[in-house]
Amino acid sequence: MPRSRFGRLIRGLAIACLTAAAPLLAGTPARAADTLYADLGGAPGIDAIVDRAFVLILADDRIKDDFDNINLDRLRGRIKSQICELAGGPCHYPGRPMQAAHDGLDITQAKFNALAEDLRTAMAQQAIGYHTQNRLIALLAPMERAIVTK
Amino acid sequence: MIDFETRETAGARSGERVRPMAMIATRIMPLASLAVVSAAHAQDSGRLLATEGVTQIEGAGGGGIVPWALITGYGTRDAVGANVHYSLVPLPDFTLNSAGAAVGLYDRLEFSYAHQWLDTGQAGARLGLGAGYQFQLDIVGAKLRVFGDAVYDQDSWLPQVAVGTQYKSNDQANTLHAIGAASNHGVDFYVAATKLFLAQSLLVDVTVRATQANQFGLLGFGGDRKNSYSLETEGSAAYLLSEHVAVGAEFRTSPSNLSFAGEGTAYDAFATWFVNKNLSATAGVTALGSIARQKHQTGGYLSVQTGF
Repeated sequence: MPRSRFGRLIRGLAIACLTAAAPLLAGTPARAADTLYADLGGAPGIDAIVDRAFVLILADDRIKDDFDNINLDRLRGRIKSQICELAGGPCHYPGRPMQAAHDGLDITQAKFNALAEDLRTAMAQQAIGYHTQNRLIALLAPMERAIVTK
Repeated sequence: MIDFETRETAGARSGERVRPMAMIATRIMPLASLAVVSAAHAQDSGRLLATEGVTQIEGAGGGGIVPWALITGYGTRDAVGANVHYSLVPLPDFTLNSAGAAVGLYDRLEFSYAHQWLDTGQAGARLGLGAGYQFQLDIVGAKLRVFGDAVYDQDSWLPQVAVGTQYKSNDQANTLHAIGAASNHGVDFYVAATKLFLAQSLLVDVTVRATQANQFGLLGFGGDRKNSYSLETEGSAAYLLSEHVAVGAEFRTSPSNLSFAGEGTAYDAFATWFVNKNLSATAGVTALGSIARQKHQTGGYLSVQTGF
């Protein structure tokens, strides 16, 4: 291929990618919010993800000690209803607001992210696709402001 | 045609060619030691995979040719991160290399150094500079995150915004003056806004840069046509295909200060493989247009980076 045509091709490709970004952003959020609960496998899917995530969390040297002296059954239940509610499912999170629930726990950004990584791994192990994982993590990410106090 | 022979100092031609690797080693060492010393105190590699982006061609955290608002390295707000990179841009008539190191401090401040060398190959002979003539550029950068968080602010449209600067010094002052450049050194200032749309797996960056650089500074700063700052626009979009792979495209406009050699907009398209938080590799294609009168400089882009 002559150089000039190859250059135009790269330029065209770059422009196409850059302009494709806009409709991608405009088009997906509404649809995504409607179906995330279903895409996570509904209540049984979310239960399995959270159970799996806790197995990983309690084996994760970065954060496992932070769950000492915590009623894990109750916490698992609350996180399940919270994710269900956030994903658009028929649930209600019964717990305290995030800030109050994590007050004084000295949670760092690194620990917050470690838990997100474990949750991502748990989703992957439950055969949840990467882009669906991102949709859930996007809903949880803003909680960093309330949870990370250290 | 300008006669470089008469204006060029003998030094650059006669065997005392600067050895890039030696030069890089001496300049990267201080930065690397700073990183190691800081790391001993606070290293957590606590940010999520891929959220540091890669190192752009001038050494700043970003994409391929565009600096982003993200602070380099995987350190959270409690830690430092650092990395070294080597990038290669093989073009039809030139080869551009970049090697450097960068540190990110507390996800707030970034310092970077990059050494670039542009090998003119046979084009050097055509331009009267001599085959294999090299332009070498040292780039010292700093970037400060001002507000916003590209990753956590998923509930708002607010991007992460950073301001940055890049001081560049080119070693071929005489040649640059001969082609009409006003100076062999210059300072760029930029504002970058980066937003990760995580639910869409899409990262978007817009950067505005005040610059006097000709061909990123490889052909000096300012010129006979224009010798003042121009505001230029740069943009990137990257789509996260998987936890480990992102693909994207970028553009970057440039001033055209030299009547000797016009300059247009640069483009690239790339794929990055984030092996883990310590290693990433990028491969792509780049279209830089005309460089020093050599048209259609479309070629490859390869970059590897290691750090924490």
